[in-house]
Amino acid sequence: MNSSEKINEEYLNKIISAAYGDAGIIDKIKLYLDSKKYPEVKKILEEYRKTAHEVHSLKHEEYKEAIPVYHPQSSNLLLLYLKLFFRRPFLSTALTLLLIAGLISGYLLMNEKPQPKKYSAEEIRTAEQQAKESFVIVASILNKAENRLKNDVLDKKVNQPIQKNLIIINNYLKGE
Amino acid sequence: MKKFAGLFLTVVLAAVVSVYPQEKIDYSGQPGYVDFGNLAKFMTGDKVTEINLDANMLKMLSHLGDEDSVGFKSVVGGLKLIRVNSFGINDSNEKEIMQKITSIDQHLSGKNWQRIIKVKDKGEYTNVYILPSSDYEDFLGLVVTSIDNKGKHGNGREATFVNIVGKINMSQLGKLGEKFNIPSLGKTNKEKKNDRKK
Repeated sequence: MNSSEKINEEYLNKIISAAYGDAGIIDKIKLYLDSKKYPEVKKILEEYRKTAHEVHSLKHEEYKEAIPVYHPQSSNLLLLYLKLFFRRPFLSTALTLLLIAGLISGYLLMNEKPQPKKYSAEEIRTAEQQAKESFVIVASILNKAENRLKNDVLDKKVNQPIQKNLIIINNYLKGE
Repeated sequence: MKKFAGLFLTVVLAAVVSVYPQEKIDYSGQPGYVDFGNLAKFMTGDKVTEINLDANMLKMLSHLGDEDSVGFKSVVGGLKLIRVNSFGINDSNEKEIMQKITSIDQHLSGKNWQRIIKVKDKGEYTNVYILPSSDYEDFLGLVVTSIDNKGKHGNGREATFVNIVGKINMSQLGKLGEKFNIPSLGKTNKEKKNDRKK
């Protein structure tokens, strides 16, 4: 910009872009140098910066009513859905999360140390009773076998024949 | 956007956790384990007892309880599985149950199991097997197959299949027997050696 030149529309747009932070780095440097050189440019730039600052400081609630609400037609619902879920930030986030989930599940499966099951107090109480009942079942079977061995086998098949024979021998020795 | 991302991550992690395996123990590698096959088809009627205590539960039981149950905890602590199936016998299933008992007997006889009791008398059958460790110091498994004319419910014939897997502390089991009326199975080599030293 020359000192003789007036600020044209293109140059004004550059000032506005710089004020709102949208201008490229070269334009920003150029405008910075111009504002040092030409007070008029500096003044306009500062005014727009001030306005931009006010605009940026506005909260969502303060201007949302001013924005026209878009009511989609039913035929456009699919398009809206696709736009909503396949926007680049969402898609990339989804893919990143999927990748993380895949890595976590892969890690868990590779180091397959299963989670110990948690039991309630009632389950533990029942299990204790069942364990005791198991021992009692085994005990009753073993007791029965033990009694059979003592009474039927040892007594009837061993003791009684021995006793019978001893009585015969005894009687024989007595001379009966 | 952040809301969506958080929700998505929660859903994905929930899915991952749900497919992550809960502890389901495979006992087939345990030396004291014996597969009785499908007993579910016999588990019908009123006279049915089914006990299935896995290693997790037995470990839990060994850590809980009061001082009175020290012996119980000690016995249970070494065990990996207690499985009991007891059910009534009728004419329709008796033959099949007998075949199963014979099949288990043949299976265990061909291995390192020792049959310590065999009773066959007046329609009653009892087989008790133990699996000693390689050094004969401990027992690693106990199997009981039994057909009782009276049954523990006292009304009609009953079949019982028991498999206890894990290190069976016979000394403690004997002490526990006094409490729960369990007879001692005799002393192990280790206990006999200790007695001799005394």
